[in-house]
This record gives sequence, C-alpha cells and structure tokens, in this order.
Amino acid sequence: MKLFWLEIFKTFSRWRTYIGFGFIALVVILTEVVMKWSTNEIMFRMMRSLQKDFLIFGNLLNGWFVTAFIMNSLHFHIPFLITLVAGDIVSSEATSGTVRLLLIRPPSRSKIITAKYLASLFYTAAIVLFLAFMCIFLGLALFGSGDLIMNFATRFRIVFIPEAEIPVRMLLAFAAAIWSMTVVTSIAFLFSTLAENSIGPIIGTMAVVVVFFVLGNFPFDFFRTLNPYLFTTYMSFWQRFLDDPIPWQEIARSAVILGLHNIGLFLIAFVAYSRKDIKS
Amino acid sequence: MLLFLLSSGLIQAQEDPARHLDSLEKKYSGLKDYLVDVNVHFDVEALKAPDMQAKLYYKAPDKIKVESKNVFFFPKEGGYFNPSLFRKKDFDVRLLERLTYDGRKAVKLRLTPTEMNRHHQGFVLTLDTDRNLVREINTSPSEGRTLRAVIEYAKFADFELPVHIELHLDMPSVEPNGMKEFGSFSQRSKRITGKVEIAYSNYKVNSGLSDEMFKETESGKLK
Amino acid sequence: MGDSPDKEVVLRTNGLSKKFGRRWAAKDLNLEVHRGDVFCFLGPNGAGKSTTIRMILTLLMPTAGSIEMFGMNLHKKRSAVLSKVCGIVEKPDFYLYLSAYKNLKILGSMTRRIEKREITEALEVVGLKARAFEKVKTYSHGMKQRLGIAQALLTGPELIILDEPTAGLDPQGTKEVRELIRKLSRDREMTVFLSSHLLSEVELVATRMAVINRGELIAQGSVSDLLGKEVTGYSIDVSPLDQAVELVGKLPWVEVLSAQNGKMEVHIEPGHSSELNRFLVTHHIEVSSFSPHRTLEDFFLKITEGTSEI
Repeated sequence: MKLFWLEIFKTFSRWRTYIGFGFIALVVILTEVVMKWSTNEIMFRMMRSLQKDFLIFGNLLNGWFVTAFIMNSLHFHIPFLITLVAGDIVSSEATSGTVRLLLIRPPSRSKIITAKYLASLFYTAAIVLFLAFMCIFLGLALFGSGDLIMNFATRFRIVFIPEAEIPVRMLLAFAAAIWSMTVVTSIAFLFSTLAENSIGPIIGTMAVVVVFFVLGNFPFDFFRTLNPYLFTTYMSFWQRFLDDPIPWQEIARSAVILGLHNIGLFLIAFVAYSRKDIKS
Repeated sequence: MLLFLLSSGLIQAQEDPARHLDSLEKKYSGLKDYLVDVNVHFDVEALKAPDMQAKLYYKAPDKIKVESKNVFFFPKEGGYFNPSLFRKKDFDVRLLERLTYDGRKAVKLRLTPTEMNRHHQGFVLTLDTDRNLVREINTSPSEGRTLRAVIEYAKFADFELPVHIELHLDMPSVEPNGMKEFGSFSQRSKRITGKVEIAYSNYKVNSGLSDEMFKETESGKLK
Repeated sequence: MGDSPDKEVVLRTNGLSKKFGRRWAAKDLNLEVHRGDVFCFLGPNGAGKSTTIRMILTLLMPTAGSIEMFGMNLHKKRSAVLSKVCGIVEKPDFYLYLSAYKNLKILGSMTRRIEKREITEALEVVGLKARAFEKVKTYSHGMKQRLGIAQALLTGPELIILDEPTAGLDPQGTKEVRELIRKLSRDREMTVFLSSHLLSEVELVATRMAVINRGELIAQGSVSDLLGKEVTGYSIDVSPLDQAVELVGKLPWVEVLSAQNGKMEVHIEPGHSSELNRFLVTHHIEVSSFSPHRTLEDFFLKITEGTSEI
C-alpha cells in the first residue's frame, strides 16, 4: 500500500495530471452553459419525432439529461486524458532516469509495477468521478432535477426513468463507465512498460482506441462480424443502466469481457517489466 | 313500386350521416369545462415508461392544460375527450356502415376534413347511435401513422365522459442519430407499436375554469 | 594491506555472466568484496563494468551465475539483501518536479520509514541542506551528484555501490567525493564498491580492486598485492647516498633515475629487487627503506593490453 500511495503522490505532484481535470471542467461548463442558452432548440431536436404524436410536459432538459448527454461523449475525450497519465507512469521513469534509483530499492519489480497500475486505475476513477461530479452538480444547479428520457436511437427505443430511480442508476452507470475506461488505462499502461518514452504509449493507445472504434462502426458486413472481438464494442455498456429493464446479463457479460482484457493486458505488462533489462 | 322508390329516397335523405355529429355536439353543448385525474399506462415496445399521473384541465372548445409533478407524455390524438373535435362544419361525413357495437346500434362514419381544414386529421368514427357516444376513433393513415382509440364512458354530472381510453398505436420510430446505414446490415426503422391506456377519475365538471389558467405558450408544455 | 581471508565477504559473484545477443558483456565473473573494503572496479570503456554493477543491483538479469550479498542469494532474498545496499548507477536522476527533500522521502521510504531528521542529516552531509526544499530541476550536475550520494546514505546501508561517482565533476567535486568515500569507509564502516576511470583517484582510495576487460575478469586482489608484482621502480632510502649511487650505477640490471635527499629512485629489471638489497647491505650501505614504486595506471594499461600474465 505504501508503494501505491507513493505513486499517487508522484502522479498528483505533476501539473500534467491536472490537465485532464481542467479540460473536463472546461468542457462541462461550456457544454452546460450553451445547453442552457439553447434549451428550446435542444428540446425540439430531442423530441422532434415524439412531439408529432405526444404532448410532452415537465422538465425534460434537467441535470440528469445533461449528464447523460455529456457522458455519451465519454469515449472521445476521456481516453485521451487517461493516456496522458497511464501512458506516462512507467515510461517517464525511463525517460527521466529515475528508474535506476527506483528499481534498486528493496520492493520487487512486481510490487512496483502493481502499485503503478493501481495508481493508474485510481487516476482513471478520479477523472471519471470528477466528470460525474461536474456534470451532476452543475447540471442540477442550472437545469434542476426531473425524470430522465433516454433515447437509445440505434435500438429505436425511448426509455423513461423516474427521478427517484436516477441517482442509483447514475451511480451504477458511472461505475460502469470507470470500468470501461480501465481498459484504455490498461492498454496505455502496457505500452508504457514497453516504451522508453511517453509519446509512443499515448499516441499508440489513442490509435488503438480510435481504430477499434471506427472498425466497430463501419456499416459493412465484414466489420460487423469483428464487433464481438473489439473491446470498444463493450465500452458503452454503462448506458444499459439507463435502460428499462436493466439488462443485467448483458451488463455482466460486457463487464467480464472488459475485465478479462484488463487482466490480460496487465499480466503482459507485469511479465514484461519483471524481466526487462534496464539499460537506460 | 314508384311509392317504394320514392319512400327509399326520402329515407335516404333523412339518413344524412352528418346529423350524427350534430347529435354529438348537442349532447355535449352544456359541457363548458372539466378537470380530471389522468393515469397513463404505456405498453409500447419502443417506449419504456412507468405509469404517469397528471391533472388535466379542459375548457371548451379546445383549451387544455396538464399539471404534473413529473414528466408527462400525453397522446395528442385520442388522448383526451374534446367533443368540439368532431364538428360537422369541419368535415365531410360519409357513412361507411351500420353495425352493432357492444350490443348497441352503431354507425361507422368517415370524416374527411373540408377544403378549409385541410390541415386537420381525418377520422373513422364508430358512433353508438343509441347513446350518441363515440366508441372508437381511427385516424386516417397519415405519414405512416395510424391510431385507434377505444373509449369507455361513465356518467358524471349529467355528462357521459370517458373513464378509459385504449389507444392502439402504429407509427414510425424515432429517427436514429449517427451514420446512415447501408448494406445488408442496414436496419429498417422499427415502428412504434403498442397500446397506451388512459384512465380518468375524479371528474369535476363545469367548475368554472378561467381562461387565465390556460395561458401558456405552446412550448411551455415542455421544458 | 593484503587480502584477509577471515574478513566477511559482503558481495560475491559466482560465474556471473551477461549476454546481449551474441556478445558477452560479462563472462564468468567471480568477484569478492570484503566488509570494509573500498573496492574499485576498473576496466576500459565497454569492458562490462556498468553491466556488472547493473546485474548486482538487479537492473539487468544475469544470463548465468549467481550473486550473493551478506551470505544471501540476491535473487532469492532480494528485499532483505537490497535493504542493506544502496547505489548510484551512472548519473543520479531524480524527480525534477519535486524538491530534494521529497525525493529523498520517496526513495528512502521504499526501504523503511524515514524520519525527517534523517533526511536533513543526509542533506547536511553532502552540503545540500540549505536547498532541501528547492525543486531538483534547479540543481547543477554536481549538486545532483551529491544528492545521489545523500540518497545512497539515507537508509544507512552496509554496502554502497557507485558507478562512476565522479563522472562530470570538477576537481573540487571529485575531491569532495573522494573524501566522502574515505569517510564512509573509515567512519561509518561501510563497504564501498565503485567503478571509475580516474585511476589516480582510485589509487588514492581503493583497498581492493578488480580489473575487467572485454567482459572477463583479469585481475582481482588488494591494491598493494596487485601493484607489488612486476614492480620495476623502487624508492630506496640509503646512506651514504653518493656511495650507493656510485656502486649501483655499476650494476647492469639497475638504472638510477634520481638521487637526492637521501633517497634514490631506481629502475630494476624484474627479479633482481632482493639482489639489489643484498648488494647494498654487503657493501656497507645502510638501507632504511626499500619501497616498490609502481602506478596503478602502469598496471592497468599493461594488463588490459594483455602483455602480462598474472
């Protein structure tokens, strides 16, 4: 545990770590302020098809809706912010030369690498939770509370979640979002253990995420068959907590698959780092 | 023979289908306003929602207001009782058939909006002629949407008002966002089909609702 | 000072080898470092010194062989062993975004709980106390080197391993490091294992040494023992000096290099040193001192060129 807290201390002593938090704060504030200005336009777009057949009353554009809306962009900007830290946490020691002081200490390499991995996961959770905090609290302050309408467009479904159920579902959704982002963390971490600098892991991880995401969304038969094998397919499973009924089996399956990715990636990093010759 | 033919013509002249609408309008001419508790239950595959409750205010001829603590969806057509909806002057009426409905005499009328009211929806009404009650409303297919409302009534302060409306929907789905899809995997839009059941209770009829309370902008219905 | 077989061996390598691709960077090294030694590890560039030190400090995995420290196998009891060891490999690098104090706090606490007092003392020893809370990125190379020694001393190790500790330092810095090494050995009874190219400096501090060339160990022992073999220069205190110079000058296997102040510097062909001593005595020349006279540099260059059999 001591090693873990030392890694946390080192990570959060660097200004680079706070780029992610600053970026999220900026994006959330901007998005929510713009949404507040453009309420009518948003509601019109959102409910355009439903309004043909239904009269709609109540506070639809509320803090919960805004939160869900911003969370949908999770897979774009959050992975990049995660790689800034996870892709750097091991390789930076090589770049700076501190690896030569670090690895001659009594704690084994396996303990050190595990502590670094856990620190990366901690950062991932922190950044997603910060997003949650910003979205929810600012959203509720600007837009108030209310029921949540989720438009699962690709499934041609609209789901209505009563206000009383939202906090627990959101908590679960964010927990799931953290879990899905940990795969990005694990990829960046693995690259970081293999590289001697941070640029490679950061770019490499983003390349993997983007390529997988694009492949998974190509509307061609061949790429559709690849979908089950792409981790990005499962990364949006957090949305299922905002569905009705909650598809627990599907969620469990996605969580397990992502978990297996994490285990596999970490094990590779673990073995590679344990055997690595430090020549720098 | 000539007498039979003449009398048939006379009978036909007396059977102007539009008179049913007259009777309907007359039946509810005394209904100035009402307020009622509404419970909406959705049984629609593409719309997962819990039961919704609200208070509905109606003032003749066409004002409504809904009060709800939470978000409330209410079918635009066939969802609430508005006797002014089927005014004779707004439609060309054609008798489709005579039938028995729930053991009572009924007629099926096709209502086609007149030239002046082209923007209005067309309907097929099943009208209980014994009690002058609209028992079923079918909207004419328009933009791919059809709707059938089945209405049950009870008596409140001398007026027979709906206590239960069962709406059967069949309409195009919500538009998906994102890339247009093509190839064999392109998904055809699913339709919204299902049933919405609206229950009305605690009617207060002709309680003197003011016009002021209905002064909201159209978009003020949703925030 | 000769080798003392009774002294505790704090570091022993058995057949230690490392191969990179097809090249043996270190082959079959059998090193022995005794407690209290200032053990110098010498070799030309690319000889395998850093590779050996990195293996000892577990930065490289040996291809073959084993390493024992304090009687324990390093790879089986790594944590226990390394808790008694500290080192600097090449130039010491630190977390530049942290202060010296925080760097030492982090590095030290990986071994054991470190008190604030201990950090302050370590910084004071190396003369960095006044700048303890400044970020290391503001430090000069010499200051970082001193900080490196401070981190090595912080946990009170029994063995300190230094790879080129004076690299990049000015003469003053070099002198300070040399003095510090002497102090560590003398006052704190630490065993010091260091590699260096500065033979003159090594000569001044080392008690035992090993020489490596092309990955292979070619000499190991106490400095005096190693330098005692094949010595050809001698410094002899004689009286009367003039008479001694005249007598010695007649011998074909001796060359007098200088004679002043009762001291005669001579060059003797190998194998004749004791004969000269007897000659002087039998010719009634008083010999008060007969000291072999050979520089480490001579020795080093000779054996690494492969011109000597040891």
